[in-house]
Parts: sequence; C-alpha cells; structure tokens
Amino acid sequence: MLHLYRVRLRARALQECFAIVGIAAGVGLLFASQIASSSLSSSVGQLNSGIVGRAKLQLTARDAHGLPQKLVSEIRHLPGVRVAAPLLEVSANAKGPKGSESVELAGADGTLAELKGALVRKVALTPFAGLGAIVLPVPVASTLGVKKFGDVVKFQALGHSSESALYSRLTERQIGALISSPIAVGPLEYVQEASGLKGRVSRILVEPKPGQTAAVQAGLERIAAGRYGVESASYDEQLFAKAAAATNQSTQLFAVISALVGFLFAFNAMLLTVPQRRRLIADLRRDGYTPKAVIGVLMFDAVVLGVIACAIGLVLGDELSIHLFHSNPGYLSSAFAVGSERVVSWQSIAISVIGGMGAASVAVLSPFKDIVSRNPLAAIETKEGTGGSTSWPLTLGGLVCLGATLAILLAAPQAAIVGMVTLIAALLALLAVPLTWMLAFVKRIAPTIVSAVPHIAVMELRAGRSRAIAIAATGAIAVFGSVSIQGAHSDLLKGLYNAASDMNAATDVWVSAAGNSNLLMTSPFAPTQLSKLSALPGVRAVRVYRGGLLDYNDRRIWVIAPPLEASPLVPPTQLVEGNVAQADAHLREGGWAVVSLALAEEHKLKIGQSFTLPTTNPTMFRVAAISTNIGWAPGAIVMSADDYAKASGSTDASAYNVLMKPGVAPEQGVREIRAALGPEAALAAQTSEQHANTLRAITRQGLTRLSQIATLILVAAVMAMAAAMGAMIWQRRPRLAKLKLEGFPHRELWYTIVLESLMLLGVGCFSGAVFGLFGQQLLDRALNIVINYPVVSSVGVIVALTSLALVTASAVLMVAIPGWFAAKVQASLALQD
Amino acid sequence: MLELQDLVKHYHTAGEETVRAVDGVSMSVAAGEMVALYGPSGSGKTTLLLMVAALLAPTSGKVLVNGRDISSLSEREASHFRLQEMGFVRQNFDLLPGVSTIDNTVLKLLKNTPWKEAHVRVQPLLERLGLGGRLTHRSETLSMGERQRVMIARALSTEPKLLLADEPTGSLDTQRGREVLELLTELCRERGVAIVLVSHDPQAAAYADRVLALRDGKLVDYDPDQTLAPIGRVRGAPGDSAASA
Repeated sequence: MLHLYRVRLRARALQECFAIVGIAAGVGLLFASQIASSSLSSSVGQLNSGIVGRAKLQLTARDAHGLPQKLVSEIRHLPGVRVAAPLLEVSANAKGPKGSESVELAGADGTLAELKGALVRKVALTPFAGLGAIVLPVPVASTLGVKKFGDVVKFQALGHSSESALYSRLTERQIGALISSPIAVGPLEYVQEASGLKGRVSRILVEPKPGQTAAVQAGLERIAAGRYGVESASYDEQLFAKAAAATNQSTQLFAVISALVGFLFAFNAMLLTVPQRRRLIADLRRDGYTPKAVIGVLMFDAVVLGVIACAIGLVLGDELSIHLFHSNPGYLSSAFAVGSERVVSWQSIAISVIGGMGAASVAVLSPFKDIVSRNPLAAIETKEGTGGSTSWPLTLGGLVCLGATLAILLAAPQAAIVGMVTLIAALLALLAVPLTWMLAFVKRIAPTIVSAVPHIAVMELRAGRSRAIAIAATGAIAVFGSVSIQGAHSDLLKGLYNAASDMNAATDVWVSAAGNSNLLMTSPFAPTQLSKLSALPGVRAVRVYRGGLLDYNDRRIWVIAPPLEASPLVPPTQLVEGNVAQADAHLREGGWAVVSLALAEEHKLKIGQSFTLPTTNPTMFRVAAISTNIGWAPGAIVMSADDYAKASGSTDASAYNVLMKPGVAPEQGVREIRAALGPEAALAAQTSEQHANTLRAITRQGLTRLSQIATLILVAAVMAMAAAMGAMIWQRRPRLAKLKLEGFPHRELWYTIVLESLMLLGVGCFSGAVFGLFGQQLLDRALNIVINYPVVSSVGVIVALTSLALVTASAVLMVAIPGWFAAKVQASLALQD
Repeated sequence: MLELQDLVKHYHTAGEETVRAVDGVSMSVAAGEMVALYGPSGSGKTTLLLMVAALLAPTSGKVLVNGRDISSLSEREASHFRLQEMGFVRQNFDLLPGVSTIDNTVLKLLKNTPWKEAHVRVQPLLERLGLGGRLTHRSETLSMGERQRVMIARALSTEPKLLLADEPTGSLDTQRGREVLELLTELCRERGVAIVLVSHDPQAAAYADRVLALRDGKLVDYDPDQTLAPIGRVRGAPGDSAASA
C-alpha cells in the first residue's frame, strides 16, 4: 500500500500539496477559534482551583464588604471540617517603579496552603505574615518593575493606599499555567489593612473530612443564616460562566462557522484530486481489487493527507491564536480575575483533528458509489453535470430549515445557536436555487448578446454543478458569518454606547477608587473626602453614588445606586417595560428597584411585584420597571443610593458624582479635584465623558475578537474560493484547449472564466449576505431577549453590501490571474489525450 | 482547397538530436474530396494535422488554404481561421456535459451569430444527421454514435471548407463507425468540404477518395498488406484504377 502510494504521489504531488494546504488552513482556523473560546473560562477556572485546592465548600460574602473573620473559628469547630481557610480578595491597582497593573489582591493565612492549591502550595505565607510582604507572579512583577526582596509595591484598593515589600516572585515552575494570572498574594492581616476591611474576609474555604460534606454544608447554612452564601468551591467559575455566556456563545458560533468554512476549504482542496482518484479506482477495480481493498487504499491516502495537514493546521492555529486571537475579557475583568494565558485543551485539539481527518476522508471517499459499483469502470464513466435542475428533496429540506429558523426567531430566541445552524443548513440546501435562477437569467439574456462568452460560462457552470455549489457555499457561509456577526456586533455596540451615555448623564466628574478594574464603580470606600471636595471653588455639588456587584444565585449582578438628587434615576434608554417617569418617582420613594429582564424572568417578577434581594441585610424591593442588562451580561438592578446603603448595611460610597459650577469645564474640575486629593490618593478623578469613552473602548475591545475572527473567516473564504476556482480552471485546461482548437481565442476564453467566477461567487456571496441579514436579526433578538443586552436592532445593509462586494471582487481578482494563464493553454493539448 | 508544399517540421531534443516529425510532405486536397492519411503511431500524423490547423508553425514549407498561407497567421487570425473556415472532428467527444445537443452544436456559431439565429441554422443539419428528435437531450444521455454526430454537426455548423477528422471512429463499434463515416462523406461531398481524415483504422480509410501513407514523417506508398487489411473498397490505394483517375 505504501509503495502504491509513493508511486501515485510522484504523479500528483502538486495536487496533494494543495489538498494538504487546504485542509491545514481549515484545521488552523478551527483550532484558533477553539483556543480563543476556551481560554477565558479556563483562565478563571485555573485561578480559582489554584486558590481553593481541595476545598469543596465555601462561605461567601454577598458583596465587596466581606463577612466577619470571626466566623472562621466557628466553622473550624463544626464537626466534619478538616480545614477552614479565610481568604480576602479585593480588586486593587498595583504600582511599581516601572508601571501599574490591576490585580486581584488576595490575603490569606497559612491554612490556605493546607488546601494544596497550586498557587499557594509552594508559597510559605506564615514566615512573612508579620512583614506585610507580598508575592507576585513573575509577569506582574516585571510589569511593575520589582525584582528582589524588599522592592516596594504600592496598592490602591477600595479607596485606600498602602505600600508593601516584595517577598518573592512566583515562577512558572512553581505555579504552572497560573503564571499569567493577574494576582498578588499577601498575608491576610496586611490585605485587610490595605483595603480598609479589618476583620473581614471575602470567603472562607472549607475542606470537609471524607463523607462529611453534607453535614458541613448544613453547619455552614446555619452559620450563614441567609446573610452569606454557602456555595461549592467552584462557585466563581459558575458565576463567570454566566457572565461570559454571551461571549462564549458568540465564539461557539464562530467556531461552528469556522469549522464549516474550514471543512469546505478542505473539501474543495480535496476535490482537486478527485479525477486522479477516479482513475485510480477504475484501475484498481479493473485489476481485480475488491471495493473493500479500494476503500482501504483510499483511506490510507486520507490518513496520510489528514495527518500531515492536521499537524500543519495545529501549528498554524496555534500561531494564529498567539498573534491574532488574543483573549480579551473586556468589562468582565471588572468582576473577575481573568488571566491572559492561552489555554490549549485536549478537546480543542481533538475537535480540530477530527474536523481535518473527516474532511480528508469524506473528500477521498466522495466517489463511494462508484467504488462499490458492479461496474469496475464506473468511476471514470460517471459524468458530472446534472444540468440546471434543482433537487426538490434538498430544496424542501432547506425550506423546512428556514421555517425552523423563523420559528426560533419568533418563539424561542434562546435557541439562537441552533437557529444559526438551521439557517446555515437552509443556506446550503437552498443555494442551488439562486444558482439555477442565475443560470436561467443569464441564459435568457444571453441570446440578445452576440458572443459565445455567456453561453460557454453558463454551460460550464451547468457541467460542473457539484463543484460550483461547493465553491459558492464557501463564499456564502463566509459572507453569512461576517454579515450576521458584524451586524449584530454593530447593533450591540450601539446599545452599549447608549448605556454608557445613560450611566454618565447625571454627573460632570466621577471620583472613585483608582484602578482599571473599577470601571463599573463597584469598589466601596469611606466617603471621608466629601466636605473637602464640596469646598472646592469650581464645584457646585458632590453626591454619593453607590453600587456594587452582588452574587444573586448563579449571577454576579451589577447594582447601580445613583444619588437621589440625580435626574433621572433610571437609565432612560434601557427600559424595556414600564414608564421612565413613574419608575423614577418610585425609586425616589424608596423600596423600589428597576430589574433587568433576565432576572425578572428568572424570578418570575412583573412590575409592582416584590422580591427579596440577598444583600448583607436581605431587603424587600418592588419592581418599578424592567430594563435591559445595561451592558452587564449577568444582569443589573437600579435602586437609589439610600436604599443600597440600607441593604448593604454600609454607608460607603462607590463614587462621588461631582457637579461643576456653570462655566467650569469638567476638565478643570478634574484638575482641581486631583490637586485637592493629592498625588498619593487612592481615589481617581475623571470627567463623565472620559469615563463613557473608557467604557465604550473596553466594550469595543471585549468584542474585538469577534471582528477579528469574522475578518479572518472572510479572508480564508476568499482564499478558499480563489484557490478552488483557480484549481478548477487549471484542471479544465484540456477543455479550454478543445475550445481553442475550435477557434476560440485566448481573450474570449479568459472573459468566460471571469464571467463564470463572477456569477458563481456573486450568487454564493449574495445568498450569504441575504441569509446573513436574517442571522443578524436572530442574534439581535437572542442578545436582546435572552441575554438581555441593550441591542439597537437594525438591518445591516451596508455591512452586507460591503462584505458581498469585498469577497466577490477579491476572489474574482484572484481567479483572474490563473484564469489568464489557463486560457493561454496550447490548443495542441487537446490532441494529446 | 488545401495544398501542402514541401512541409517540414523538425524538433530538437535535449540531446541536440533533430527529430524530423514531418519531412518534406507535399499533398493537396480538392473541395469535396476526402483524403485519408494513414500511418502508425509516431509517423507524424498529429504534427501534420497541427500545422494544417494553424496550431503549429512549420520549420519550412507552406500550408495553403484556398491559396492563402495559413502558417504565417497571427494567433488571432489563426483562431478566426479555425472558427470560421475549418472544422475539427476527433475520437474523443468534446461535448459539454449537462448541455443539450443543440446547445453543444451551436457553440462555434455563437461567436458571431445571435443565439436564436444559430439555433435556427443548425436545426436542418442536426435533422440531416438524424438528431432531430434529440435536440434537447443532454449530452450524457446520447449514445456514442449520436455524440460523434453532434461533433460532426458542430464542426460543420460554420459551413467550413476544410474539415480535419482525427480518428473520428476510434471510439465507435464497427456498425456505428460505418454510419458516421457514411454521413461524413455524404455531407462533405454535398457541401464541397475538403476532408483530411487521419486514421489507422482501415475501415475509415476505405471511405476516402485517396489514401496516403505517412511513415517517419514522409509520405510513402500505401501498402495495405503492411497494415490491417482494409475492409471494403479502398480508393486511392495502389492498384486501384479510381486513384489515378
């Protein structure tokens, strides 16, 4: 078999190389998008498990104020508890001589190491407890510019500034993949002091003795008494999964589209070798090989091709994920410690390899019917060309898929991914219809043109119909993916920009805890600077804004609590049910809140109904109106700052809303405030415009990967189509030679090739664009209804036309060059067969 | 109609050896005459045909069609010559798959003729070839004999004065081959078309007015005993009185 393969390989090395390149590109695309989709979640999961180690349960605080540390000893006395380790985690801004970085500042005592988590297993926390020293992963230490024991790191956390000495740097050898996590670990007492949370911890990790989990859980519930959460140790991962659901679903969708484009790329490439394989099948069958033996020979081909192509594809995908598809957590980093590491899971490798091997096998065995035919020469006697007819069962299937998508759009937008898959299936199944229409149309107008060009182009397309549809499908899917995702992306951005404007409408200047992770103004601090700021000459008024992140079941929701003086209290563009003025009046009364749709649906809440919010002081609210998620995927609740203070049991502020006197520009106000706070302040000032712009930029960055993948799919599709068309044309040289023999000049044949490409790619891309607009509506509705994003729905005609024109023009241009050379074929070639 | 004057085509191989593919061939074919060019593989038949079709420039000598030397035509003029003045019939059916009989036939005409007019023009020819009832049938549904007849119809669709037939019966059984040759000769005589028939099938040669033999690039005396015995009457063969008439 190997000998046979080597002999054949010599005769068709070029085609095999092209097939390898095709499959490798498909595998690479699939692998890169798989890595991108798994990296964010895996990063959070790795950091959490690196901290919690063997712990199975935890008692968690519901907000940033934490829970009393004294509960640790109470828990340690519970029967069945092996280890109970207190942990305080606060978002902090770390500054060193070279730079600054947002980190999760984690404070723990020696008991944390007993849980054997990867992060602290090799870090002895006890010896430096009294020093207030911290340990940092090497990359964070390098960013800050600290290297040796004693180097000073400044932290700004929850409105407090403090200094700490570097104890040691954690290397990759010590903590493995956690090296990319943005974390700083220090003694519990130090972190409590640095963040102003003396005697408080964020969570208490508990490792029960074997078989005692249920008993320990019951004990924890008793201690929590409804004020704190009793959760599994992996609770953070669940919260993140919910928060990142939208991003992950989008990436999954891209992975599906990438897989399809990759598969079609590979399949088109493999089709190049089909004529040779058909001849091989006929030769083998004529020489007495059984169909089983022929399949064995072909599968050997597929394995060799597949293995080489998958290896190249995995390397290519890995490079793409390093240089192009950066995991960007965007606004999620406000609530979760998301690392920058690339996580390559075995599942990503398996999916990509299965895709590549599958494409190779399907394409190699495409003449299956002929292999098992009784006629040994069936493979070379079979002609393609089914004329211009359309397969009715396929069309019917396409219409059913289209109907199913419409049903999902109207009745079950939560099944949007399924809807996108059925829409793609409909697109593929129905693609023959517009192609037939186009051929019929050209055929109808061709008689009015005295030229053989349109006639030959139509005849050629009808002759090679299967391949024509495969090529058109590549363009169709790429344009479909681009139009639907880019369209939905643009609609989502518009909605999020509106949310950012609403949030910033009630103030001129924000003063809040410093640090990039405090984008949503959720870090509390004691409002001790209120009078100092009020006394500034340019300042008209200073109001206390409150807000925070609250863990509500499996959602980390965003609580927005503007001061009563703000007007309006509710974000006007974000309401989906209810009246702005009425809701505003209710919020001012107190005891009312605006709830985002997903939360309202989850808790079956309607306007006017009451619910209890699991804050530190569980508080009952009534629903004043229902809103979007205001840009925060897990959901949001708006209430007055006074109500929030009661519910959280704290009068801490999350920000000051500073209003400037008439004629004083916000920028001038920022300068005055910065001067008043001093250079070492843990509070930062920015104009509302600056904050809105930062929010918009972070939103854009978080969604950048979607644009990058969409663009890459388009580029890959252009290359796939151009390569497939180019190869198809190159293979057709004997037929072109025959036409030349008949007297058709070079230029006329070239025009035929260009027209043929234009028709094929035009039909494919146009169909993709039309279905893409449908897909955009489906995604808009899913984002709006299911994840509850503030989407401003539109029909992205401009995006559709741009993608359509770009892909068609680029692919035709790329085809025109090999077409020119193919049309130069010597007519004498026709006499050589 | 067609006149070859001392036609020579030499090739130089990599080892600087000169291959004399066609070596001083002179011959002529009158309008309505069929000349069979008979010779074994490698005798220079295809090279000769390429030069007659203006696809290959001779090393020396002339190819005159109606007195015009076609060996000096530009590529564009040569294409025009093949399209308008010459027809080509081969053993491999160069029909477009998935395309109807009539559309396959009008292919050459469409260059300069509106589609409808082209269809009207080829219909009598197709009927004459016995394809009147198969006009809309796709090429792959036709029998081998029918496909060859479509090729003949296409070749004659532009009403050429010269037809080159390269093994036109090579893919057909004896009966079908005979039918095709009969039609070809009848049509060409009716229309005054000069035919150069290249074949090593004695049956095909039997339909020719003259048979010329080509060996090692040179015209030699035709000796049917050195080949397969021709079936039927062979005009132009040595000893045939019609040949000298």
